[in-house]
Amino acid sequence: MDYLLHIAILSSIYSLAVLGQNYASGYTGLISINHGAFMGIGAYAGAILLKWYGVPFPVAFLAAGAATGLAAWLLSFPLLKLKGDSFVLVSFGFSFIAFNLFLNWRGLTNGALGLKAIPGPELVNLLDNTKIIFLAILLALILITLWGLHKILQSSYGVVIRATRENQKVTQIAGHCTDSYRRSVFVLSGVITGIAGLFLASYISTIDPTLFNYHLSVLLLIMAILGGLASLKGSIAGATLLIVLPELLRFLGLPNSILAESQQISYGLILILLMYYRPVGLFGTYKI
Amino acid sequence: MQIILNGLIVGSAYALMGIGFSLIYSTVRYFNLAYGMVAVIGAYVAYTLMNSWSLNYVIAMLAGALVAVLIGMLSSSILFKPMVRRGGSSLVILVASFGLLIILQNISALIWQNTTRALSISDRILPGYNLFGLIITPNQLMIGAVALLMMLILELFLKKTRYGMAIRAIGDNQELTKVLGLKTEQIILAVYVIGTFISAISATLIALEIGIRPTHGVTLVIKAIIAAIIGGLGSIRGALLGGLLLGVAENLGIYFLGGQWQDTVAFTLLAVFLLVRPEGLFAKKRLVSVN
Amino acid sequence: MLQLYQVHLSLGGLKILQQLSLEIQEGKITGLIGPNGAGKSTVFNVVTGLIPFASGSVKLRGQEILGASPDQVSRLGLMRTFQDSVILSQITVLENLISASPLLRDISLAQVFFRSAQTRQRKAEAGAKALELLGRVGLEGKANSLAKELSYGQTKLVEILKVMMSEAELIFLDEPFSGLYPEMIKVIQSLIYELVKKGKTIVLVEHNMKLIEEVCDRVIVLDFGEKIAEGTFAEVRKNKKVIEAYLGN
Repeated sequence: MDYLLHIAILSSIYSLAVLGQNYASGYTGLISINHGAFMGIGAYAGAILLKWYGVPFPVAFLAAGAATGLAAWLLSFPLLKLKGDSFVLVSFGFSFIAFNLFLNWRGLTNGALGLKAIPGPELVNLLDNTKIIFLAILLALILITLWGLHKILQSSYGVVIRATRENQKVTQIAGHCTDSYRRSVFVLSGVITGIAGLFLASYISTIDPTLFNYHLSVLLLIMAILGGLASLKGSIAGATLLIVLPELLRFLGLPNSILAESQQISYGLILILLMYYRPVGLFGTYKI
Repeated sequence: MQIILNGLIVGSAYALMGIGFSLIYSTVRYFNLAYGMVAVIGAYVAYTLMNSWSLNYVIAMLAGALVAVLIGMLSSSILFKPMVRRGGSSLVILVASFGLLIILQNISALIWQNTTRALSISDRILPGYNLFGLIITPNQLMIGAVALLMMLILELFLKKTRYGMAIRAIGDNQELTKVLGLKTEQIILAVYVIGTFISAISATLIALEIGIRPTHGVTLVIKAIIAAIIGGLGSIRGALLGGLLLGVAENLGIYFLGGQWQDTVAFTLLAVFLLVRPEGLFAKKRLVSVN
Repeated sequence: MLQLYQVHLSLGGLKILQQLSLEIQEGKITGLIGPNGAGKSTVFNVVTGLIPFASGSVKLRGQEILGASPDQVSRLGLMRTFQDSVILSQITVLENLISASPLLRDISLAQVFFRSAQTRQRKAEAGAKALELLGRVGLEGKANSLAKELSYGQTKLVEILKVMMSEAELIFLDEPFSGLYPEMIKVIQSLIYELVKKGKTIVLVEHNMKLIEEVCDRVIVLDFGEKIAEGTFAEVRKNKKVIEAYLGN
């Protein structure tokens, strides 16, 4: 039971992060491979405040969102000038740069040793059945995010960002300042993913830079593509599947020494098969 | 000065990497992210041959490159070519090639472990040569010499042979390749062979400086891409300059900022180039295209 | 309506527009013709802000627009179509149309959440107008299909409908008839006349001279980025320079 709860919590955290990823990549066509870095920024910002300054969880929550939003906003200036493959590459580069920062800004992040004993939400510490409450908070947050994104996507705003995804110049000619839309999408998407990072930090209570290297960024994009770009339920399906699948590998009885590699290989295979047979993913409505 | 020399030497290997990447890109028009990893496998094979059969460095390097070429050809014909035929966009192929990268990287980690394997042209530690007050190690000399040699051979090949001319032409003139009597498919295969070959040589050279690790597949393809983009995708001369520039910038970065910021320096260089001169050093400026 | 004064554009030593000056008169259909590579589409790209690095001056109703971004130019009442029609293929036909409506401009996230009734209202209005337009050309059944499912002719049609959605005063049409069969040409022609009747100004690039003669009030002829003639079609067809330009090609 506890194990199932653990899987459910992890799936929820990643689902939230992938919702952020999909808002940018699926609906707006910003195929970013840096959302793992956003998760890291949210995680570190929240963890530092929780651990060293003892702030209440809601404050850390806001701070994680704000820090990631700021990072996304700053990154958007060079990034949004690029398109296609160049965009992908520089965004990928940012996940390396962020990793360098986590690793080397020791005064703040404690370098390679990472941060330990990060507190969770206060409410959770009060009760015996803490994990279930943690999960409940997360699910509530996912529901709110789903509602919010749905509302945005149904509105005129949603039409404009999808038009931007299809062709930026044509959408500009129709009178829309496409860059301000793309920037706003990128920032909100960063905020959502950053908050997921905070939940990850306070759930596993120990973070270090290797958690947030480029692998995580790639994983989030794979989850979004597997579930389906431009699909909200796809984001959740993709995240859950890729959390559950490696766990299944564990049950296959693979020796521990090759477990990590086999998981990675299975990710790689999924990616290839997906791109080969069904680039739109499970529920996708947008084909890259 | 020493820093710049070191930068130029490792840069010449990056340049080789970049040239191979650029060659392949200019014919197929998609980014193959598994490119660096295939090269690293070539370096691993060379390493194994040197250690278990005590082969000479150069022979092991060539043998490793042949294995890499085989993998490169297979990946092209089994995976990428059918995907292009099915109408996959360049982004779809980029993502798929990332999947291949992950698979190859982890298979390498299973075979050769997740540690750094050191590679040197000799078992003994040889003294460095003194060159006008600058020190150059035998390993560095090997890198510089082989890289230079490879580039000369490539230059001759591209200028003098039918295949070479077709490769140079295919980027902007499909008709000419027909005149030369070659099929696009043949040329793509040839380019994969050549590109992968020189990339594996380059990876084995770079291994002399930084060793071999499964994660180097990612690092090297990124360096190749950066060198190629700085120079202007599709331009051989550009990739050469781009590689040298990257090597020098990295070494200056290591000297002034510390080795831990190496990736940051490389990517910042890339971002600056993409923003200021997206067409690279040696590519033609184009008018607007809407699509 | 629109004045170009000494607009110059060169690229890598190649002169694409050479001190080009011309004027587009309000309420008329002006044809912009010339041999391939004369710079017709480039004029469109410069005026609509897609090529920001030309020199000279471009004035729309007296206001300088050279150097303005495409969306700024568009807000001043200019809309265009593209030579190889560019449709937003992975969104619906209806969404293609409403994306051009001024009612959808400047929507902020705050409005989506805190003025949601008003925002919805604007989208509904734009949607109703789009459906009406689609209905007039018999495409209402396609409203909710993805635009990539349209035929070539239909995408050309949807582009004109987008122009109508935009309520722009000055309209640039880049080869609106190319590759179409006669019935479709008739439909598009009637839509263009309708726009003129509403007082819109139209600039047309087209290779089919019969259509130019039939549709245009005035014709401006370009060659090598220079204006070589201007007047009614009957006038310019007798012009020596024009004959040379076309025969020399």
